[in-house]
Amino acid sequence: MKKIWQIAQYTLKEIFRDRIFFVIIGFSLLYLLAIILLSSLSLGQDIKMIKDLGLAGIYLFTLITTIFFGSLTLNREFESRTYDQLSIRPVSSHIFILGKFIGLFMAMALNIIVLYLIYLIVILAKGGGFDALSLIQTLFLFEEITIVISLNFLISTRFPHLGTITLGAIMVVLGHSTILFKTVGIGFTKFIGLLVYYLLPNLEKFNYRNSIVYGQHPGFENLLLAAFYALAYSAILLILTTEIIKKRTR
Amino acid sequence: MKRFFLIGSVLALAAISIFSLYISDAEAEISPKPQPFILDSKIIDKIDLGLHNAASDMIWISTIQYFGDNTRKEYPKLLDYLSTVVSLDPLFSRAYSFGLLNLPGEGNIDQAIFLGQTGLDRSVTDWEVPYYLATTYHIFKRDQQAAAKYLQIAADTKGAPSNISYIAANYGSSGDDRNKTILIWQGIYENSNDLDAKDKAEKYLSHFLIMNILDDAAIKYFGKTGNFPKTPDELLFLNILREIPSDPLGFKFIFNEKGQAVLSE
Repeated sequence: MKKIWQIAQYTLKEIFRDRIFFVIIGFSLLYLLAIILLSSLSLGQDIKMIKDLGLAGIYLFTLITTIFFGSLTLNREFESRTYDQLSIRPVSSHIFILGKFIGLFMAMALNIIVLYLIYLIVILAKGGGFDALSLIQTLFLFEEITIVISLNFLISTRFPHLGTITLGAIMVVLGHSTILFKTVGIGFTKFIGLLVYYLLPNLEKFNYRNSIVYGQHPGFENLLLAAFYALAYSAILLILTTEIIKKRTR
Repeated sequence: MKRFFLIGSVLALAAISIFSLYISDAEAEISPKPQPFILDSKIIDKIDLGLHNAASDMIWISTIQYFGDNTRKEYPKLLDYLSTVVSLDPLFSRAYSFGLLNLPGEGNIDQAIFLGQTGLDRSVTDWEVPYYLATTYHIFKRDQQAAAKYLQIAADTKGAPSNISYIAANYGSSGDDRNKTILIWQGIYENSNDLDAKDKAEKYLSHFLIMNILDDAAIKYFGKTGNFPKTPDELLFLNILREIPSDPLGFKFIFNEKGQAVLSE
C-alpha cells in the first residue's frame, strides 16, 4: 500500500511539473469566462447556455488532459527505460500500474474540482444560484475518467505517445456512439454488433448533462450502477495492462 | 536610387492591397450572400460526444446571427436551423417560441405550427409555446377554435402569468377579430420576458392602434361626406387627420366598403 502511494505521489508531482497541464487548465479557465460573453448573445438563454457550455467545457478539457497524460504517463516510463529499472527492484507490475493510475486520477480529479468551482462561481455571479445537480454530473465525470485513464494505459503498452492519443480519442468518440452497434444488423451481424457494444466502453452511461440542465435528477441508482461499471471495466483494463507489460519485461 | 525604388515598391504594394480590398468589398455588396450550410442533426448527434445541449446552443447562436443579419432579404434556412436546434435539445423552449414568432413571417406557417406542436408533445413547460401557437392559429390560420384551445393550454401551464387566464377566458367572448388579435398581442407585450417577442408585440399593437385611428377617422369622413373614404389620403383633404401614421410593420392601408381600414394588397 505504501509503495502504491509513493508511486501515486511521484506521478502526481511529475504531472504538476509538466507545463502543459497548467496551460490546459489556463485555457479551460479562459473558456469558462468566455462563455459568459457568448451566452449574452443567446436572447435571454444566458443561464441555460452557461450551464450547457460550462459542463461541456469541463468535460472536454478534462478529457483532453486525461487522454494526453494517460498516454504520456506510461510511455514516458517505457521510453526512458525507468520501468525496466523499476522491475529489478521489489515493485510488482500491479503496484506500479495501480500507483500510476491513482496518481493520474488524483491529478485529473484536482483539475475537475478547480474547473467545477470556477463553473459554480460563474453560475452564481450570473444569478443562476447554486447549481447542485451539476455536482452529480461531476461525480459521473470522476467515474468516466477512470475508464479513460485505464484505456489509455492499455493502448500505451502497444503504441507510442501520439498513436495512443489518437486511438484514445477515437475510443472516446466510439464510447459515446456504442448504441449504434446495439441496433445494427440482423442475425450474425446483430450478434457481432452486440459483442462490440458490450466490449467497447459505454461512456454514455456517465452522460446526464443534457437532462441535468433542465433540473432532471439522474437518480442515485444510475450513479451507483455507473460506478460499478466504471470500476469493473477499469479493473479489467488495468489487469490487461499489467499482464502486457509483465511480458514486455520478461 | 535604391531607397526610391524601395519606397516606390512599398507604395505600389499598398496600392494593390487597398485596390483589391476595395474590389472585394464592392463585389460582396453586389452579390447575394450565400446561404449557410447546416450539418444534419443526426450527424452532429453521433460526433458531439454526447454534448447535445452544447452543440444545440452553438447552432442557436448561429441561428440568431443568421436571422439578425439585416443584409439578407429572406431567411430560407431559418426552419433548418431551428429544427436542428430542437432535434439536439428537445426541451429548448425558446427555440420553439422563436420559431412560432418568426417562421410564419418567412412563409412557413404550417412548419411553425408543426414545430410548436412538437414542442408541446415533448413536454416543454413554457407557457409561451402554446401561447404563440394560439397566436399563429389566430393570425395566420384564422382558426379561432384552435387558438382558443392553445390559449387555454397556455393559461393552464404552470408558471403562466395570471392575465393569460384572463385573455384565454375573454378570447371567445371578445367582439371582433381585431380585438381578439389585440388581446393576444397585449398578452405577449405584458408578460413575455423575451425582448424580441416584446418588440414584435409592441409593433403589432401600434399597427392595430393605427387601424383603429383610421376607422374612427373614416366614420368622421362619412359624417361629413356621406361616403366612406377609399384611401387614407382622402382623410387629409378634409383635415380629419393631419398626417397618416406610418405603420411599424411597413403595411399600407385602404378602406373597405364598410369604412374599415384593411391592408392594401
